[in-house]
Amino acid sequence: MYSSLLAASAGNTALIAFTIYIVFVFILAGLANRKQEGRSFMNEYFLGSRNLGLWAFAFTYAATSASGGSFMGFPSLIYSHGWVLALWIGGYVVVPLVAIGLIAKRLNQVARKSGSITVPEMMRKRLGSTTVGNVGTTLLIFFQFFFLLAQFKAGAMIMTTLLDDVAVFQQAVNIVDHWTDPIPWIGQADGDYLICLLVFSVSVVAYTAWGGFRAVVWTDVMQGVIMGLGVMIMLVLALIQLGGLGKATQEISRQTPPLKGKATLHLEQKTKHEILLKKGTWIELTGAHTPTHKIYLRTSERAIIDAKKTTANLAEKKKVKESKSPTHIPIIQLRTPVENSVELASIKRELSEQELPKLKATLQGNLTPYAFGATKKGAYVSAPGPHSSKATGFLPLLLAVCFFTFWPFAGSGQPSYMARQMAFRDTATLRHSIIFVMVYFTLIYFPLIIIFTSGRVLLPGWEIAPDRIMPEMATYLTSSAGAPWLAGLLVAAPFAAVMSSVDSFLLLVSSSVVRDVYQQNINPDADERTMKKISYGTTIVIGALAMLAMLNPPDFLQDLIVFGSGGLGASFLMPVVLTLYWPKLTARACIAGMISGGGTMGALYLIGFIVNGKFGEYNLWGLHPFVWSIAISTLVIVLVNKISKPTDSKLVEKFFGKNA
Amino acid sequence: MLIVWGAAFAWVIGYCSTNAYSAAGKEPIKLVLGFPAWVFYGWVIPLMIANAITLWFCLFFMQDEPMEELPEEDNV
Repeated sequence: MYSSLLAASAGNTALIAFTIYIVFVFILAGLANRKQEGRSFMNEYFLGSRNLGLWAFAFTYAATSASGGSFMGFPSLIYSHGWVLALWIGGYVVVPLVAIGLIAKRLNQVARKSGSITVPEMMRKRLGSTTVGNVGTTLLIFFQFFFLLAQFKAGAMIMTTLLDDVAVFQQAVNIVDHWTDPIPWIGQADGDYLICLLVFSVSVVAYTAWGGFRAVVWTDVMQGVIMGLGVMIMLVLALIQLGGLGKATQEISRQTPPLKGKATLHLEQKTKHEILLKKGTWIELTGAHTPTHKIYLRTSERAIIDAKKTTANLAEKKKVKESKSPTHIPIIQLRTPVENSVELASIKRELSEQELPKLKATLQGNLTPYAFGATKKGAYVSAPGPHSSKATGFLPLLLAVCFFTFWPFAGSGQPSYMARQMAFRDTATLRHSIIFVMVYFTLIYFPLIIIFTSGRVLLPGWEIAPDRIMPEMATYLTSSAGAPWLAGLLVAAPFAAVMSSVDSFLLLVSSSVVRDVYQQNINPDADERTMKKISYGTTIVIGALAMLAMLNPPDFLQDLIVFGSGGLGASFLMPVVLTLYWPKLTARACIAGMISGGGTMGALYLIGFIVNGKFGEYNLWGLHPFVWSIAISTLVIVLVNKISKPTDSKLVEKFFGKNA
Repeated sequence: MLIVWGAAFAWVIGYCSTNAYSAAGKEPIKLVLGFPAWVFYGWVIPLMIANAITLWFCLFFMQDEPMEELPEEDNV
């Protein structure tokens, strides 16, 4: 009872915190909208008049890059695979320097000289070829849209978790479910997801369209502050409750990965009411304890025991239909070493909070161990990290090499960051921003790893749903510190992360459509008012399209993100860098580079789809597709450059000076 | 910058490839300030050094350049 009350109050505080948050966002958008008056609309709406000061630039850069992945996907990876994630993210140590330092200054200058607003536009003007711009725009919109889709889903998912325990919300869900059921396509989605998706999309699209770039930047600043604060608070709370980092690491080093299997669950005595066994119900395997380990089971599906019966069945009807034996409930088995006092205490606490009559579990069939690291002590504190299905572990050395390359360079290849870099005021701003971004990244990623490896000790057994570890940790840490209202702020952090990414990408895609497609090819002479209408229109239409596409979301969220950002990096990194620094680059070579980079990425994913039967990358010779794409793109550019005719020398002179 | 990346790459990958992949199974695990030893030497230290280099680069190395004014006629 205590725990459910706690959850409900945490849910309500989350709702209140969330509402306050949204209201603030809209106030900012309104202010930004008023600031637009009297300035060149296009420049202001899409670039904030190229006038970003230090704080705005740094925060907007950091907040855009900290997307839903950093606060949902990354913690769940840390939790599942342990300290090896430090190596996975290792490339980040040089990200601020490489990603911003490499191109920002030059990019900003070239963009100013040519008066460009978008990345493809900058390339078009620098190389004097419309085709470059058009190819760039097409690739940009294509890959960016994938990325946008993933973020929409992440946003809606976080909201669902947030509002799960709020009574008003549950009622609304029932009503929506009832309404939408007969409608094809929409009816297949769950009611709670639909509501959240709708609220999320409408609010993001509304404030982005209303306030434009300036609103996005201002809200990014606020969101950045929330994220930073949230992580810091969690770190302090986690360390206090663990009794120090050393103790936690000791405990983790003794952990071995759980076993997966099935079990039948029986009541010792019949009851009059039906009993619902939530996903994640703990059961102590009595009599099975060895002197060194205690053994616990945890359910990984919801189950139900009907009134006056003793055996549990799977609760979800769809799952019952699919399963041959609905009494075999999927479980995981934890073997906790007896020295792990903090971990055992956590399990005991959760057992005692369950308030269920006594249950007996019988294992059915064999338990499946992890494919890598199954019985290995110290699997969680060493590389390559345990993995449930890959026999080579989570991060074989070659992949580690790839990720070390991926982070800094894929990061600098993202057009959304490039757009940011076109907007700062002067180089002093840039210099201080790099420092700021560096501090910010260190303060986010460093603690995240500590917090969520510790999560293995404080909240064991979340292998059943690792994506939920972030909100669960937030709720647990704050409520055991006696301040459940704080959970609202902490859970707002990942939400802020998603929102700040979505708004930037939304604006980026619509700026491409308006500037590079409409103004370039359809109606170059449109006046200010028409442009304004069209800009608002595209922002809204694109948001609506993304929402419609995501009504029935695919499962492969993280793959979608990597595909989108990898594709963008592959298509733009080398072409843009060379456009900026290599006077001899030709338009043809640039086009070839973009297409071959993006194409390689697409092809390797297509092969992955054919080989594995599901959406995912194909690691040719153990290397990530991104590495291949960059290599091929560079090669193609150099080759094509040799055979194509040089760019107009006047253009080269304009951007590189006389001596070039 | 690429040199910095290369150095960081060599350090992190080089150090971790030998130490991180062999860290399992040793008991008791070596700790430095509560981190597993390989994380401390292979990640925390290079992170701090990379940060220091970034700081130096931004504060003392990079030159300020005046940004040119916008060619206004290009903008609508």
